[in-house]
Amino acid sequence: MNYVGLAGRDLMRNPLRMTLTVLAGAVGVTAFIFLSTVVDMFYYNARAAQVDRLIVRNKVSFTQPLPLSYYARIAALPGVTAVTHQEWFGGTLGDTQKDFFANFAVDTHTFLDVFPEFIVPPPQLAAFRGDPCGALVGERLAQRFGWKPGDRVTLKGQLYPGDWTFNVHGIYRGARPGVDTTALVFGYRCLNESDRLTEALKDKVGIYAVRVDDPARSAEVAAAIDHLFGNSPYPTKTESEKAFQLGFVAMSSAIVTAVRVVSTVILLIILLVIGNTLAMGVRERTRDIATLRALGFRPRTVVALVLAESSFIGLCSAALGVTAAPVLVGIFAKLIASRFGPMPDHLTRGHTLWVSALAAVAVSLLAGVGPALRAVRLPVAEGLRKVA
Amino acid sequence: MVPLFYNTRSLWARRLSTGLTVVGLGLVVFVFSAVLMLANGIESALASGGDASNVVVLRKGATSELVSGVERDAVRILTTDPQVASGPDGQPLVAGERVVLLTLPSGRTQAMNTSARGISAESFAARPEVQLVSGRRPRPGTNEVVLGRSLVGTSPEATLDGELRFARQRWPVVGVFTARGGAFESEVWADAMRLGTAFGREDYSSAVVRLRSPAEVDAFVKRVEANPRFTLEARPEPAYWADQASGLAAFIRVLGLFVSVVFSVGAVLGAMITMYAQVATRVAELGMLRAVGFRRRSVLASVVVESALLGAAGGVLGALGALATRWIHIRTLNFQTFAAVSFGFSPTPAILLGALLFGTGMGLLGGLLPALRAARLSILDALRAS
Repeated sequence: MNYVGLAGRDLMRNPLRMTLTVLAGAVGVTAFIFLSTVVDMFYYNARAAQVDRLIVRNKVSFTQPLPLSYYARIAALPGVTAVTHQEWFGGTLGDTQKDFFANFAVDTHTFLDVFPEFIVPPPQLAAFRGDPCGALVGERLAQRFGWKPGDRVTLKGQLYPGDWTFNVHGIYRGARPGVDTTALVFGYRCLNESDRLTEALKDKVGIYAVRVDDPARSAEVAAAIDHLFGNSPYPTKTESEKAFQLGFVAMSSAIVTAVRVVSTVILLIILLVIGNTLAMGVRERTRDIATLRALGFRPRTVVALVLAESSFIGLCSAALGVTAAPVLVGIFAKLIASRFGPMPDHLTRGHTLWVSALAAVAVSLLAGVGPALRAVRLPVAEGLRKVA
Repeated sequence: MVPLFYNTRSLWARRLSTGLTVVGLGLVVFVFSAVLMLANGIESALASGGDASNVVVLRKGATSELVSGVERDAVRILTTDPQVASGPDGQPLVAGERVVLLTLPSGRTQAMNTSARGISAESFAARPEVQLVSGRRPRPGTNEVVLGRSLVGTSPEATLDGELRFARQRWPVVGVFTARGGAFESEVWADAMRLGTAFGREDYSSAVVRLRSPAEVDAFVKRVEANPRFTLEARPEPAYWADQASGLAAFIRVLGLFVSVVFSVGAVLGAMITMYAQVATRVAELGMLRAVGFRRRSVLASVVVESALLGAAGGVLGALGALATRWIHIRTLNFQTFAAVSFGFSPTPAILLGALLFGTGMGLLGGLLPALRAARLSILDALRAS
């Protein structure tokens, strides 16, 4: 019998226990992947950020407006290739925030210059640009509510009182996976030219998004923009899109940290469960192992046999967990969608799956070390005498 | 019945695997109860920011003060309602307030969004739970501010006698207040007019109205909604704050319960492994028990009880661990208000009891199948096994 056969016999010595261990390990791997994906959700927008984009916001806070007149002044700066502005509208479909999704007022003509990852068929884009109250809807949002071009969508304004009706002219999709297609954007003119707006709110925008010709010069351009408005009543803070998004993550850092801590606890639990099982198995086999040693097998062979067993358990757990986790993530995304908006597809990254699988194998190897050492440290004679 | 003594002894005889199983179960119970305590902490932090006699008036359809607007005239009309309580000076307790977001520099993270509340003369009187712990109230018409207790120290100048800088102005800190752990403790309070001028906002965001008694709240809410002179809606203050917490609390709760459920499956499997091993190594003992006259069901009960003991030990361990988190304070972004909120883990007897039951339940579940196996052993085979 070769070593593989021997290790296989050891594994199948107690098939029930092995199955239970593999299942317990798989549960741990699943939970680990799930939590890593939750952490990824926080970083999702920051990961999708483009290096050549800057976000200009009011220095006081991002809820304070900036004047529309900044548009031309930012566009004239050297190094700036395109500028657009966005205004968070925050409208809801019903009276409550139950069907939450993001909605913005955007400048119809420059929006796609700065955000080229949003793909809209040219005829739909032309119709959107031609209608002050035209709207574009992300693919996933359109799926969620069954919207198609030609539909009319009425949102209840929160910041802007009353009902606002927009004409859906097109569905946008992402140029690459990871682009957020869960938002609705509509023409800024619809808002700004409405007689419902008070004078104080007219010609105000939320943020400017700026595209620079050379990402290496973004810091320079950002400084130039902030300098330009430093002494105005509306000073600005300009940062890369990534930094802007990471700002939000930083404010949620306590939760992100808590989730990370729990992930570590999970690895510990897998370690305990697998370690416990292996220790039991080795303890039961004390006499077998002593016999092997008495026959002249080297200690390192015995250790290798135990480690082979534990890495097999780790691999099986990893395989099961990697299969189950994306399903769980999908259910979770559905559950929180009503409050936080629909989640993008493919939340679980391949990278996460690989790392988790590796971690599972590493943890089970670690769990095997203790029992393996115990097995070889015992004097042979004592092992042979031992009654399990 | 097999005496309990037998089970405790046999658990002790296999200390290592018993200990590992208890620690595993304990970790699961820990996560379970810590999550419930955290969600409870947010809810009580935000929900206690409200007095049962108070009503928050917002623009119809607005879900938070940040996006709402209430005209000055409307605030004046509200003061004429007969059920509005009067302050010590005889003035009706109706306070127009203005809520804006600030970005204050912060030590750990680069910046933190903080709610600033522009207050009127009646704001303190309308909220008896808000008490100064040091310093004094801001004088009306000045830039003086008071800080909620949990903001102290979160930003370099956020201390008594410090000076905040925002909106191109200086705001000296003249006092620190508490609010029974409520959401106000995460706010900066300043004069409504000064704050309004600095932020270019003329209207109030909301009005807080104190009624003569909590019993008047429902009728007042209806009167506000029926009043044709404005399009406002009123909500009991505790309900308003509970709603502001609902998103974050739901997120933590869903996340936590998800993890707990997944975990508990793992822990039940772990307990099962342990108990199967216990049964397997004790076949001869169990056979002996049967031979001296214990019934099958006694053996079954014995194994189940032993496993439940394991679970209960895990439950105690996990609950104790979770109790230790009481001293941890968390400050994070509330996605609903875009402002930071700070809260702690708040244990309740129900959560602790739940943790114990959860642990014991996992033990029971894990012990069931091994117990069946133990009970099914035939006396002869079992005795021969040794």
